[in-house]
Amino acid sequence: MPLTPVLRRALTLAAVLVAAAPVGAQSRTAGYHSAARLAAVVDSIGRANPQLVRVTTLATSPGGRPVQVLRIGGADEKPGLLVLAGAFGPQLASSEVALRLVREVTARVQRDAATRALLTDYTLYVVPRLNPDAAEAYFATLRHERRGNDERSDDDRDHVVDEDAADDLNGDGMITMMRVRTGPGGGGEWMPDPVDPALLRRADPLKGEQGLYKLYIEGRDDDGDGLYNEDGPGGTDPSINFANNYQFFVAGAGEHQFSAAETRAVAEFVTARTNLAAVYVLGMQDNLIKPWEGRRTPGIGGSPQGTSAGGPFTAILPEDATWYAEIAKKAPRPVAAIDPVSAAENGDPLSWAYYHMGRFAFGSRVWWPGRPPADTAAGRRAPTPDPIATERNDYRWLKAHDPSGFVEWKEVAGLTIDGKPVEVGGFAPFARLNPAAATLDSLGLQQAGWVLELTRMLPRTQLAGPVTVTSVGPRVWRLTADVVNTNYLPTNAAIGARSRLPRRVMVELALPTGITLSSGRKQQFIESLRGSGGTQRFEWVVVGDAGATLTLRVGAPNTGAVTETITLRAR
Amino acid sequence: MTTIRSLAAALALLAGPALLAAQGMPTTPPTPRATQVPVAGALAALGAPPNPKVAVHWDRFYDHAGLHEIARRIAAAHPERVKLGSIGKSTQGRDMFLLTVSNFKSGDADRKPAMWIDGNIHSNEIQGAEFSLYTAWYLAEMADRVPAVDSLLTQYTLYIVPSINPDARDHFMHKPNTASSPRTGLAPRDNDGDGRVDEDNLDDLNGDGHITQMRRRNVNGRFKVSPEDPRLLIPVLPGEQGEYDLLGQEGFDNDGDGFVNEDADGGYDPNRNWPWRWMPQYVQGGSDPYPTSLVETQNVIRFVTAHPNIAGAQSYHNSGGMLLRGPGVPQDEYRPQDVQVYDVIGRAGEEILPGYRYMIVWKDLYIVWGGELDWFYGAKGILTFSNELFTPFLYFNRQEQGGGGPGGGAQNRRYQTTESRFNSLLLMGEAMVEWTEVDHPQYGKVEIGGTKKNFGRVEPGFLLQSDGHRNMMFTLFQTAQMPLVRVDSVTTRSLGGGLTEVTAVVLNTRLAPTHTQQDVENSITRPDLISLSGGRVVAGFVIDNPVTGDATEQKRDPATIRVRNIPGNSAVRVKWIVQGAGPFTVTVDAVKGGVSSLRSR
Repeated sequence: MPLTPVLRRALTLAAVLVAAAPVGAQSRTAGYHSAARLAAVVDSIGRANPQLVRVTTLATSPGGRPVQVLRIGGADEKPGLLVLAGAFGPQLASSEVALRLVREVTARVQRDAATRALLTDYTLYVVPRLNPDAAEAYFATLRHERRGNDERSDDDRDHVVDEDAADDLNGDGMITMMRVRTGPGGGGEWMPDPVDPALLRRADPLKGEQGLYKLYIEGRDDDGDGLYNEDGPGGTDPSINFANNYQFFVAGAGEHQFSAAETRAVAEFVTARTNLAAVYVLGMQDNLIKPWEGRRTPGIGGSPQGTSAGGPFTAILPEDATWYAEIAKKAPRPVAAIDPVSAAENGDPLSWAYYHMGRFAFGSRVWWPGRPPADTAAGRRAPTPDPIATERNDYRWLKAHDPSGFVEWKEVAGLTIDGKPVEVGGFAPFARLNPAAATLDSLGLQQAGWVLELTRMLPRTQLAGPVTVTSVGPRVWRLTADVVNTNYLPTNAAIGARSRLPRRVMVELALPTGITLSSGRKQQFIESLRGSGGTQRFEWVVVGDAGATLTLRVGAPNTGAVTETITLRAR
Repeated sequence: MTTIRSLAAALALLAGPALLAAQGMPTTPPTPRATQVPVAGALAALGAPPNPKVAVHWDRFYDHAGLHEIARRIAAAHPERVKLGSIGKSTQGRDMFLLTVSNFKSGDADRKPAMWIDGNIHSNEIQGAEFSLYTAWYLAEMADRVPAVDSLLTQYTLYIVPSINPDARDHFMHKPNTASSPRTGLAPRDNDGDGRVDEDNLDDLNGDGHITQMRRRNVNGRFKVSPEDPRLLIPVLPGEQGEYDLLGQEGFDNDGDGFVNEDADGGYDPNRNWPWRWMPQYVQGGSDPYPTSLVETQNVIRFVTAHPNIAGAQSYHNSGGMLLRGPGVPQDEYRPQDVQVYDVIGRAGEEILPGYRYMIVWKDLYIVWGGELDWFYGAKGILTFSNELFTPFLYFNRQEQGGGGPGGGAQNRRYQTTESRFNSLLLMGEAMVEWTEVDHPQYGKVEIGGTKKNFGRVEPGFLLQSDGHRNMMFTLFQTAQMPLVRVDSVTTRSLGGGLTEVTAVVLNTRLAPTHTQQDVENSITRPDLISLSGGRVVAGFVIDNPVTGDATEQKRDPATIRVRNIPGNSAVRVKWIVQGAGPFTVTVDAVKGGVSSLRSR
C-alpha cells in the first residue's frame, strides 16, 4: 500500500532523527543535506535573519517534500535575480552550493555595508532544490542515480508502470553498470578501451573491431521482457519538464510541459515576479565557461525565426550574444583547466528562462571532475579524436582524487545471462556530479561572490538629472527628461524586447487638471536601454500656470522606478 | 385546476432562460411571461422530436446559467442516457459542466469508444455551445424513436462540454461587445505592459449592449456613405470627396493614458495555450506566458487524459464554414494512415454541410501554434476536427467572396452588399444599429452605429437549428467511424495429447483504427489485448498471414496477446495452443475500440 506523501515525509524525518546515514556511505554524504535537513537549515536561516530573509514553500513534490524559495533582501518590488538549483536530482552539488551561497550572502550582509546596501536595492531569490524527491536517492541505503520525482511513470511506454527497477547484484550498496562477457560473435556491441581497459566503448565494425560485451544498468530483467532495468521508480524529471524545446514522449519528460508540481510552481513564480531581471541556473547546462553564441538562422521555409511562419529561435539573438560573451569573461571558473559538458537544451530551465521568459539567463554546471594528472607513460596516450574523452577524463581524475568513484569490474559469482558471465562495475553513482564537502564550501564562497556581482550588473533606470523646464511662451512650457540606465546590463535583453517579458521601461506623465498636454505622449515605453549610461530623451510641451506641478514616473519592475515632481517654473 | 396551474408553471420554467435572441433582442433576461401548453404535434417532422420531454427553443443563445439549466433538464428527463457532471471550475468559478451521453444499460460508458465534443473556446464563438447541447438533446429525445440513434449510444459514448470558456461567454452575452470580442477568457492580464490589468475596456457609449463603430463628420475623411445601403460606410477612391472619419470601436480612454481600448478584459487566446507545439507570444500571439497556464486548458487535459477511450473529438469554433483538421503548423505532418481516415470523414462533411469546406489549418487557413486540436492529435493520438460554424454561404445559399463589415476595403463591396441585402431582405434591417450622435469624452460629438455583435459570425434564429443539426450530424458521422472491435469467431482444432489449437478472428468494424499512426509511433495508448480463458495456455501467436499460416510467437504472457493496432475495417487473427478441450472464451479489450467476448462452441 502506497504511503501518503505526508506520512512518507513524517517517516523520512523520523529516520533522520533516529539513525545517522549508513556507515560506509558516510564519507560521501558528509556535507550533503537530505530533504528534511535542507528544509530545516533553510528554515533556520530564515529564523536567524527575520529582517533579511523570507522563506516560502513554492511547491510540494509528489513525494511530499517541500520545494522552498528564499527571498533575500529587497522586496518583490525591487529588481531581482533568481537562482535556481537542483532541478536535476542527482546533481546535489548544485543544491549544496546554493545553500552555501545563501549562508555566505546573509553573513556578508551582516558584516559588509556595501552588500547590505546592494540587497536593499535588489532582491535575491534562491530555490536551492527543485527536485527533492530524486535527490533523496543520494541518502538511500541503496545508492542509485535517478532523475524523476516520486510520481509513478511508465518510462519505457509499455503501459506498465515501474516494473523493472535496477538491482544491486554485487551487494555493494550502489547501482553501477553491468556487462555481459559475450566474447567475439556473441552479439556484444562494446569493447574495452585499449588505453583504459576499465572503460568500454562501442566497437566500430568499419575498423574491424569486434564487440565483446553487452552493457546494461546493474540489475535483473524483473519483468522478463528481455530489457534490463528499463522502468524503475521515478516519475517526471523537472530538469526536462520546462517548455523550451520540450520533448514529448521521452522518459522522464512527463505528460507535458509544466505537468510536474515543481516546474509549474517555477513557471507561476517567474510569471508573477515581473521584477526578475535575470535568472541564474545551477544545473546541467553551462553558458558561462562557453558562452551561448548568437546566430540569425533562417526559420521554416526561409521565414525569419521568432515569427509565426518562421517558428522558434534556435540560437540566441546576436545582440544578446555580445553580452553573454562579455559576462563569460567576468564569470569565475569552478573547475580549472577543463571545460564542462552541457546537457542538451530540451525542456531545461536555463533555455526556458531566456527564450520564453525573455530574461538574461546564466547557467553554471557548478562542478565537474577536473583535469587528471598527465599520464605520459607508453601506451597511456588517449587517441585523438577521443570518442570517450569525457569518460576517460573523469575516470582518470577519479582514480587520482576519489578512487571510490569508480568501481572496478568484477564478475558476480554464479550469475550469468544467456549462459555468459556477468561483471559489475563502472562509475559510482553521483561521483561525477558531486565533489567532497570541502569543495562544496569553496564553491559556495565563489558563487556567493559571483551572484552578488551579477546582482550589481542588473539594470537600473533613473533620471539623468532634474527634468528641464523651459518657458516657451506665457503658460507654455517644454519639459525635457533624460532617462538613463546607470548599471551594466541593458534594461531588456533583445529577447525580452521580443517577448515583452519583462515589461518595458515606462515613462509616464501624470497631469493634474489645469495642465494640458500639447505634444508628447502621456505614456511611453522604451524597448531597451543599454547599460553603462545609455540614455533616451523625452520631451513634452504642456500648458499650465506657473508654479503648477505634475509628476513624471520612470521605470519598470526589473529596473527600479523613480518619481519626480516637476514644477512649471523656468530655471 | 391545481394540476393545470402547476403544469403551466412547469412549462413556463421549461421555456428556459433565453438570454440573447439570435438577432438584436435585448441582452438582459426577458421577464418571464405566461406560457401556454404547446400544441401537440400531429405529424412528426423528420429529424426532430414532435413532443420532446424537454422543450427547448433552439432559435436563440443562452448564457452559461441558461445552458446549465437546459443540461440539468435533459439529464433529469433522460437519466438512462444522459449524465450531468463537471470537468472542473473556470477561472471565475463557473462549472465547466459535462454531459456524458450513452446507453448506460449497455456497459460501462467509460469503456466504450468515445467522442469528445466541446464548444466556445473562443468566447465570442458562441453557437458551438448550443450545437453541443442540441446534440445531447437530440440523441436523448430521439433514441426511442430512431433505432440508429439507440444503436449509436449502445456502441459509443459522447462526452460533451458545451462551453470550455464559460466566464467570457457570459461576458459576450451580458456586456457590450462586438462579434469578435472577447475572444479571450477572463483571467486578468496586462495587455499593454503598464502594470495594470484590464483597465481600458470597450465602452458602450449608446448603451445598446453592442460595441459598434464610431465615426465623425469630416469633409476630408476617407469614408463615405454607401450608395447601396445608407447604414454602411465605404472607403473613398482617390480623388473622391469623403464624408467621415472612422474612429474605431466604440470606447474612450478610460485610464487617461492616451490610448483607447488598449487593455480590455482578459487578453489571450485560449486556443494557443495548449502544450503541443506551444510557442511564446513573439512566435504565437495570445499564447499566454506558458503552456497550460489557463485552468480551463488544465481541466480539459486532465479529463481527456483520464479518459483514454476518447478516440475522436470535435471543438466547435466560428466562423467561415470550415471542417478543419490539423496540423496547425507545417512542422507536423500527419501520417498517411490517419489522413485517409480524416479524408473520408471530411469529404462526407462537405456533403452534410453545404457551403462548408474540409481544410487543413496551417495550409488552408493560417498557422496555429499550441492549438487545442493539435494537442488532441499530437499528444493523445485522437482524430480531431474543428468546425468553423456559420458561413456567408447560408445567406443566399451561394458561395460569397471576401469579408469585413462597415469600413472594409472596396474589394469587399460584394460581401458587404450580401450582408446588407440579407439584413434588409430577411431580417427587416434588424442586424444593424442606426447611426446616432453621442458626446464622446475625448472626441466630442461622434456618431455610433454598425453591425450588432450577433450578426456576421453566428446564424440568425431561423438558420440556427438547421446549421446546428447539420454540424451535429457531421460530428455523429465521425462518431460512428470510431473504432469498434468484436471477436468474430473462435474455432478449435485438437492437436492430440490434450492440446487444442484455438484460433480467434478479431474485427474492427469501423473506419478508424484502434490506434492512429500518431498513437502507434509514440506508444500513447496501450496495445489491444486479446486474451483466452477456459484452458491453460501453452503458447500464443499472432497469425501474420492467414493464407500461409505464418505466425509470430508472443513469448511473454501468451494468454494475453498484445496487438499494437487493429486498423479500420480489418481483422487480426491470433491463435493459442491450450491444454484442455474448451469451451474457451476470447476477449478483445481495446482502449479506444471497446471490449467484446465470444465463446467457442
